[in-house]
Amino acid sequence: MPDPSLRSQVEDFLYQDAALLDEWRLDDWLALFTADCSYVVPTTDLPEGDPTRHAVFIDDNYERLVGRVTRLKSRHAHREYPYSRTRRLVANVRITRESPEEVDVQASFVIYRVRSGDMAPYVGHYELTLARSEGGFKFRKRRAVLDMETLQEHGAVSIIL
Amino acid sequence: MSFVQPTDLVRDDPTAGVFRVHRSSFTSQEVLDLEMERIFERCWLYVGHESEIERRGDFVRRTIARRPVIFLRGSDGEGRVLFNSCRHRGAAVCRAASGNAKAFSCFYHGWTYDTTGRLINVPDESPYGPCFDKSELGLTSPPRVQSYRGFYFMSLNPDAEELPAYLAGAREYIDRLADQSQAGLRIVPGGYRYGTKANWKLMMENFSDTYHFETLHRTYLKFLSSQAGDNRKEWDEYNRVAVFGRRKAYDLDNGHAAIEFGYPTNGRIIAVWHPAFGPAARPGVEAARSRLVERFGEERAAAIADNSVSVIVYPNLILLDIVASILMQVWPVTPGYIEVDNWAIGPRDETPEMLARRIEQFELFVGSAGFGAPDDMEAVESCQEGYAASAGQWSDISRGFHPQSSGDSEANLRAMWREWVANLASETHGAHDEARKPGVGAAAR
Ligand code: FES
Ligand SMILES: [Fe+2]
Repeated sequence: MPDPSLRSQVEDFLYQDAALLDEWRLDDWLALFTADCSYVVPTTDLPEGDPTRHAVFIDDNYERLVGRVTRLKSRHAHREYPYSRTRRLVANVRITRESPEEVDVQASFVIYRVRSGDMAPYVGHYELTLARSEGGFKFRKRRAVLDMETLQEHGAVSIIL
Repeated sequence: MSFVQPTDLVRDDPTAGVFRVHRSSFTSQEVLDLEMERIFERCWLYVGHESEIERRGDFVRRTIARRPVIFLRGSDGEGRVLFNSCRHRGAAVCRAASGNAKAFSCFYHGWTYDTTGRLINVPDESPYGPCFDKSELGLTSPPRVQSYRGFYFMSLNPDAEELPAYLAGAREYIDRLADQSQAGLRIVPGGYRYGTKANWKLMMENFSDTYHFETLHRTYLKFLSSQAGDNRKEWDEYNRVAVFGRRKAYDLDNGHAAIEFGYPTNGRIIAVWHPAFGPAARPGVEAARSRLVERFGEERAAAIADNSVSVIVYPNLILLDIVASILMQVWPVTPGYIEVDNWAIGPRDETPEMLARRIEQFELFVGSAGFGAPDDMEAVESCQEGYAASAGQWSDISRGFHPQSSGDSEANLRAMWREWVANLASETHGAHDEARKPGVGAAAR
């Protein structure tokens, strides 16, 4: 039985993540990742997608993630300039594995994106590996698996999930 | 606006060098109804690739021109397209998105069809009486189904010309793609399907419009440049030439059209290395190119390997053979809303390392979360919104049209529009009978 206070620590970390993204504080958000991180979002038709063999929406290492943030901060990332409004709800947080170095976490999310007269929710779950460091947790693996069947309403994944 | 004649929607004046499309072409329900009748129900439409139905019984569900179909390989080994509607009362007999099946048993009353479409079982058949004939009640097929080099197409028009004739000059580019590997091509698992609030022709134009590249996609070019490290200057220059340099537009007949970059843009997984692939990928890419030279000689190998190209396979398929090879299909739903499929396609026998690079480059540019495609989407949606400004306006597609103009040309887009207007104006299916066949090699105006 994992320590219940561990779950609240993890929840606090995920709420901080959500707040930084909703506030578009992308540089601060980038500091939540380890240098050996991966950030993956599989396609809607292949939720089990493996980025080495399958096309996915996002397969970022740290360098690509920096590129993504740099792009989003530019006023030439047109789908997000001006920024959309987002509101992230993170819930059903479960610790699935724990070691002195790492914690594996599963959580559900709904991310509402509001822009240009439309609101479209991204619904799915996170599969996370958090590295424990002195300053708290960092994302080592962040996999956001979507429940939608297509990006019919959303068009793109122009925000960070 | 209610238009009088479809021909009123396009102004095609070669002497003045003016080519314009009336914006109601993008907003009118009347136009879309006519497009469905005179384009989507008459032309050949791409259904799927042979690699998606590799084994007997493999199937994929698709919707083609609003018709639910099953694309499948029958127990006899034949690739097929069947309408996914039970002959009894109409329910879908295939309800999974894809898979492998021995038979399709309708979930409503249990009529069962084999993978060639034959009705093989009807529960409690006797009340139907003696005239009931199962052999007449198989799943039906679209009037025409043919494949070219592994690409399956269907037509709702029983009198459609043969597929290779229809594909005309576009065959050359399908050949170049198919010749990339002796082992054949394969759709990479993981497809993108998304909606866009724009007219289907805006998206077709966008995928074949190179004019916007350096303006709209500067964050993508910046990212590529940031990847080049110490060679940044050299690769910025490379990218500049790649993007602006030697583009040429071609009318491939029947509405098909191509724009050739005359350059391997941001590298080509098959088979021109670029720093963005990383040094580890270099030997593999170079070996792939040598194999092409061995198989085809330098000239043909260069056409296959070194030239990025965007091809409109009229009416609604784009073959974007750039850094990676990409198929995109655009389906109109309403005048202002489309659904789009994107797939990465590549050699079936490529190494895991090359496949990883291919996937990465596909995701990076045309991916729904990539550094390019979301901006394209924003642009076409913005155009569509702009059409509300004034019903009477025209969009301009005149670049490179004037007899004295030089440099970049939008002749590929004009080729698509000319076929479009000829199709809409034609009450019978033989819209492209009046010969206009410059073919591959002739740059068009
Ligand atoms: S509708 Fe298919 S068996 Fe009745
Ligand atoms: Fe573009």
